[in-house]
Amino acid sequence: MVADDNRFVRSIMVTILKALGIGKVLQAENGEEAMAILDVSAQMDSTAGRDVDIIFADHLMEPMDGIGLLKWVREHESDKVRFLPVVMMSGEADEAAVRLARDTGVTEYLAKPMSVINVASRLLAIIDKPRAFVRAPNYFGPDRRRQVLPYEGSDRRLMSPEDVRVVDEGTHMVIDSQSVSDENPVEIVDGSAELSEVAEARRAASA
Amino acid sequence: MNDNHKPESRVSGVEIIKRPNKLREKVGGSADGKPGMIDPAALARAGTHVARMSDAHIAQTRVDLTDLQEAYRRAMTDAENRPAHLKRVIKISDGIMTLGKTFGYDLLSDFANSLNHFLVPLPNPSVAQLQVVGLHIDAMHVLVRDDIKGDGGQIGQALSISLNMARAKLGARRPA
Repeated sequence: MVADDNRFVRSIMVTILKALGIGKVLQAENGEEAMAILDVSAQMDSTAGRDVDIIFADHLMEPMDGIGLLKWVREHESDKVRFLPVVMMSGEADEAAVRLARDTGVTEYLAKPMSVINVASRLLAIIDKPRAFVRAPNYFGPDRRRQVLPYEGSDRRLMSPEDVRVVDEGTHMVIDSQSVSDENPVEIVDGSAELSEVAEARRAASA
Repeated sequence: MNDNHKPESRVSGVEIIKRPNKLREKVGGSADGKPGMIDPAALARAGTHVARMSDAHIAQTRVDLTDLQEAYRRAMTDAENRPAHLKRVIKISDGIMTLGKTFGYDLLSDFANSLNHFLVPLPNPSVAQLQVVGLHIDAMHVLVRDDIKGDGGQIGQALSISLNMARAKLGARRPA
C-alpha cells in the first residue's frame, strides 16, 4: 500500500512497484485513509490473498502524517497490521526525522527523491534481511540494531551488570533487566526454539 | 486476530519476536533462506515506465509552482495565518523536491530542498527571511521555464551561489 497525499508521487510509486512485479498496489491519500484500508484488511481472511504486505508512507502527509500512521500500525490489535513492514518516505530526511521514525518502529526509511533503485533496495532489504521485532517497555517495532559490532566496554543501556541477563541467540540478543522466574520469564515468540532452551536452562539452574 | 502479541500485554523485560518470512516466498525465494530477487529486466522496465512520465512531471511541476507561489503570497499578506501558509509552502516544496531528481531536474530538487531546510528551523520568519523564500521560488520558476536539467550549467551555478549567500545571511543561527 502506498500512502501519500501527492497524487503524482503515488502514481510514480505505483508505476515502480507494478513494474517490479508487485501484483496489486492499494493507494491511500493520507494516514486516515490508510488506517481505514488496514482496518478492513485486518478483518479479511488471510487465505483470500488480499492482505497488505508492505506500507510505503509519506512522512509529511496530511491530515495524519506518516509518524501518526506508523504509531497507529504498531499499536494495532491485529498481528496482520502490527507487524507490517513500514517504509517511511521523506524529503526531510535529517537525523532528527529519521531518529523519530526509527523510535516509532519504522522498518526502512526512504529518503526522497525516489528512484527505481531506491525503492527496489528497500524492498529487498525487507524481503531478504527482515529484522526480528522487539517489544520493550518503551518500544515496539523492528530491532533498531541492524548489525552487531565488536565493542569492548560495558553496555551503556544497562543500569548495573547484576540487573541484567544476556542470552546470546547468535544474530540477536535478548536483554532482560529482570531475573528470570516463572512469574517473569523471558518471552520468545514464533519459532525461537534455541532461545527457549537457553531460557529454560537458566531457569533450571537458578531453581 | 491474535492478541498474544499486544504491545501493552507485556509489562517488563524484552521480547524478541521472529515472524515467518512470507514476503520472500512471494518474490521467488523460500522461507528457509533462498534469497528473493528482483529481475534486472523488471528494474529496467520500471525505469522506462517512470521515464515515460516525464511530460506529466513537467505539467505537474508547473501546477505545483503556481500553488507554491500562491501559498507564499498568502504567507506574506496574511500574517495571522502565516504558520499555516508556510506549512503549505514546505509541503508543496517537498513534493517538487521529490519529483525533480526523479526526472533529472537535480537543481530544481536542490532549490526546493534548500528552501525547506531554510524555512523549517524558522518558527517565526521575518519579512526579510520570507523574501529569501521568494527568491527560491523565483529561481525554481526559471529552471522550469527554461527546462534546465542536471546541475543547470552556468546559469544554475549563478542561481545557486545567489541563493546560498541569501540563506547564509538570513538563515537560522545555531545556538552558540
